[in-house]
Amino acid sequence: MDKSTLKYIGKRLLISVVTLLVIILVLFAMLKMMPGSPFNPEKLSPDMIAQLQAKYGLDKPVLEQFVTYLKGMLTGDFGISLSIAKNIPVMDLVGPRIGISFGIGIAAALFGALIGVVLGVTAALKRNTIWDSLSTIIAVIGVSIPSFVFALLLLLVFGLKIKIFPILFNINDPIRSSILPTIALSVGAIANVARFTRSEMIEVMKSDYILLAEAKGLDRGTLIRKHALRNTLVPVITVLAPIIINLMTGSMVIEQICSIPGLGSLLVRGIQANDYYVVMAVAFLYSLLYVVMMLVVDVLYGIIDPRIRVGKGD
Amino acid sequence: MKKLKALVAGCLAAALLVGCGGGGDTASSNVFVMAKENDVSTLDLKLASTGMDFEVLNAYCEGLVALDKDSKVIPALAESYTISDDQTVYTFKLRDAKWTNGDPVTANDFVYSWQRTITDGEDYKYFFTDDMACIKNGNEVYAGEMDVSELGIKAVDDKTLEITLSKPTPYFLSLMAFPTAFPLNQKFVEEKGKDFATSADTVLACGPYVLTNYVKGSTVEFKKNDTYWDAENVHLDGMKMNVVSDASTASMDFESGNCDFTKINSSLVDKYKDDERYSSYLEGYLWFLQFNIANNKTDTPLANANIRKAISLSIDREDLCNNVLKDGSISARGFVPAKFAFGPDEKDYAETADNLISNDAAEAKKYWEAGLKELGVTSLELNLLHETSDPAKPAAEFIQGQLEKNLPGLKVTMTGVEKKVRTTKQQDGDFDITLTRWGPDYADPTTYLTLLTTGHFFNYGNWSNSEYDAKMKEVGSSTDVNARWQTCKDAEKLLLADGNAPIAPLFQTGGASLISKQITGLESHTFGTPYIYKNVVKK
Repeated sequence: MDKSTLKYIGKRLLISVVTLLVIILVLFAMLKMMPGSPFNPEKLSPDMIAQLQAKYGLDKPVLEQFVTYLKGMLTGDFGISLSIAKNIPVMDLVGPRIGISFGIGIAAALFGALIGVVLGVTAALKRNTIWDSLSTIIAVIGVSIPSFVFALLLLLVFGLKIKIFPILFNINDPIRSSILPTIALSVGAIANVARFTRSEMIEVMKSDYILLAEAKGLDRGTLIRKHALRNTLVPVITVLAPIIINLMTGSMVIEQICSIPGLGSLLVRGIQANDYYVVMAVAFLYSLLYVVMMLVVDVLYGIIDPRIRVGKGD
Repeated sequence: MKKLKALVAGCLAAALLVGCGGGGDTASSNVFVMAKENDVSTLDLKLASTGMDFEVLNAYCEGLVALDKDSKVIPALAESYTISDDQTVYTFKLRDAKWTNGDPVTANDFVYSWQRTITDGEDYKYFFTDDMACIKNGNEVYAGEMDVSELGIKAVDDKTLEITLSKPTPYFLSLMAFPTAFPLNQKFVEEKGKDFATSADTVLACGPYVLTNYVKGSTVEFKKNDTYWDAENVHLDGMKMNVVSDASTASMDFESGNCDFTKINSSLVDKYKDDERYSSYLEGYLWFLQFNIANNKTDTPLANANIRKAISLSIDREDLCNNVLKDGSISARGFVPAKFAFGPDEKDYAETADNLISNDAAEAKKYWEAGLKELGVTSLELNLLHETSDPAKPAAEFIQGQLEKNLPGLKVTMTGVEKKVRTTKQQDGDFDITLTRWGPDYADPTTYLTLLTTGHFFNYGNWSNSEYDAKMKEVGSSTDVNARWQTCKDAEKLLLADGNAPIAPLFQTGGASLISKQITGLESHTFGTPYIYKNVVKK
């Protein structure tokens, strides 16, 4: 790796760290500005609320709270839950859920990408045939119908009517109970990837080098696999990165509907209960993932395609 | 391309194979399976505050007494008790009950638990004060003015517990069934330290069931406690509570036969209301409109009694309950809900008290016009604060419609927020009218009536009436139970009389539920623990 690449990576890394710090600050400030309190004021007198605020250090100036929180964070202490699981360290709540949400998310992204690419390529190669229309229809349906409708439909058909999958997520049988939510989650990804692949593939097929390859007498299978598909997939991977993160961080709605004890449902409960540190930890985790993913994509780009570095003057 | 196709086909085949393997968990064994909307917020009784917390605690732990299906007090860990002549000293004789670690349940377990909660508790720390159980020195210990050892609870010996009250308290005994009053095994709690009550193996049971599994946000599982003193009357092998936040999913789970009991929301009631598995349990929550009468010491338009009266009269509560909420909610007859407080005559307070609520659109209009005239205006704009969940949202929309239809010149603007934001806005006085509720803490009308005394924290509208305060004081100091009961009724009448009425009671919530025909013996209560599972039988 040459010096300029290292410099490029170093700069990206620095930007990422700064971005994360800013995110933490903004999140913290926003949570503090949120109306309401983590305690249940319906039954508590104002002096009792004041006692509880003092007990958990919430009566201190926001800046002081922020510094304390940041210090804790650096040592891996993300605070405790104040409402939804009283006095339990936030990390004990988040930890077991990461695997569940990530597992389903990655599976949905892979499944979505695979089916999406197949649909997109089919549509592009059989342009203006019934296959193309069919693939477009599937893509349109996928984009326009929200995934939770699919989730409910899948639960109804495969959970209630045909009974081959459980309706509720069963922690002791995670694979079987993940299948329906995975499919429901991947619908959006399928649609996006299919549309994108189709247009990319059409572009690629029109390009000169394909013409050259064809002229050289390459058989169609090799042509598509080795030349067209490969070049189509590079930009597809770019759109895939945010899709993967989106899915990994769990769909709040799908998790609610399928009763999955994942990050999304934790975040929803945390927000409803004003449970500051729970919301903070999950939101931070999401941001971290985004930033790391973007960093990886940026670095990979830089390595794969030096024009990006040169072009940006880096 | 062929390879790709083969891969896809392979994946699908694998998915199908996995799908066909293994059976789901069924509700067919002697285990009572429930879908619960909310998760447990804690297993530690000093922190417990939600209905779900109480249900779980009540399943694996028990109090001195328990409540039967009609909310009458029955013996539990105490086999008998005596009451002193002045009604302030209760002496409980404990039976030979055991914790699951083999230790006997002793009088000290209660002393330890109570002292622990009043020094370090949260939502129900005030349980021991005169606002609730009226334990001697409870107010002082709560405020930190007295040492915790001065609290009126004493272990005379291992099996004798003496509790001293600050004043005769007719509802005291029923409060001993409230989870905050349950015992704790001191040795066990201290041994577990910080980990106490964070998982299934860091709690100790002395109740009908033992907690076997607790996955946060997902499931709570129990098995029958074989060492429970009344184990022969516990008929289930176990119970399982699944946390299912979506009502449609819960109803599908019920339909699939994997679940025996679930609550449903009003959107599903139409589908199920004629189903034999549909039932509705009356809950203790009373929803009402609270008027902001004085904001920053200046009177608001709602300080005008005619305006308030007109608003209350213009709402058709029957229509609201039967056609909008449809979940078994019943319209309010006063400020005290039905079927929760029983008097010295053993009769339901709400049933024997006068009906103080009426609906008459024509009358409403008359009061409204008189009110506007007194204020010297021809129109008014009022804001209705409400939360965005069931049943508040549909109720608020209905109320807006009723008010604007029946009271010419009134414009109702809506502020819909999350529950915790609503309560904060109420405290800040940031509302004209708020749609709010109160769930009873103990089985006595005063749990509602004291809320509107001058200076009470819940009196968000800053209403103040010296006559009413005097009546409530009389209730507080009365030693004659019959006279006290009547004074409560008089006070309520005064509260809702013409010219007063700082609130407009609306409805008492019903819990629309689906329950399997195999299940009997599920007991619901309007205060304390919503559902008690000890006597559930599955056929």
